[in-house]
Amino acid sequence: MAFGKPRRRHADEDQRIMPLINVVFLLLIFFMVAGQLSKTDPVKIEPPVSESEKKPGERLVQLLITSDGRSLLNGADVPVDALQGALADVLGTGAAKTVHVKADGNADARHVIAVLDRIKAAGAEKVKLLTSAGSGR
Amino acid sequence: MRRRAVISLTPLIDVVFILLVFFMLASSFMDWRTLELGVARPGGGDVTGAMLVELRHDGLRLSGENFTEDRLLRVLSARFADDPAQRVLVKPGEGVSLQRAVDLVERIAAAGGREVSFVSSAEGG
Repeated sequence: MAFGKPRRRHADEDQRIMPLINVVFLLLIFFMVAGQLSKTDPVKIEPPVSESEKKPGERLVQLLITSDGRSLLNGADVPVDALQGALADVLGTGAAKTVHVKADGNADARHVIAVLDRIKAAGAEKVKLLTSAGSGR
Repeated sequence: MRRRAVISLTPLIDVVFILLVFFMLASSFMDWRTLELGVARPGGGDVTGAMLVELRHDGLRLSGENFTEDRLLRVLSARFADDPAQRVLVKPGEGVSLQRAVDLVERIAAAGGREVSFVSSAEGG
């Protein structure tokens, strides 16, 4: 039967596939609008959960601290001892005075605080810790 | 009408599917927030007159005395009622995760603390 009317079969197929396209288009628009495209971090970081309401602004200088204590400045591995110098170089260009710290929630708090101390010593005006809002837990 | 039906929708669906998969994988739904942190230095001028809360893995200590979290928050909020500008320093001990430290700072802030900061335990203190 289908071989007899090829044209008709084509049109039928299009008709049948239309709801699928509708749904796929809706999903596509949802993901385009609701999600943000952002550069992924070179290491996996589970940020601490907080109730803070403040949204992060532009992140020009970002320091990552992993749960095992490694630190990455703007994506590049920097040993903790060299951090102060590297940060002073970055901050010295005058582009930004705020440092965003994205630290893992399981990282040792003392280590993170020691790093924060170095950031202040390197001349940052503000240090902001990035956290995630609630739902993740 | 006939002519239009000749063009199949399949290539369109292919492209749309590829776009869909791309956006599904590439977009993140993480809701980022920030916490502005102060870090006091032990021995510095900004430490005088501040209350030092030690956060250890086995509990909380305020001026050498063990506290439960509820009791600590009650004591602190009574203090904040007298003096809203009272500074509180949180000093995490060994083996305390950042998550716990952040939780404590947030609860102290919720109890009325306006000046809550971390203190590094590097030197003395």
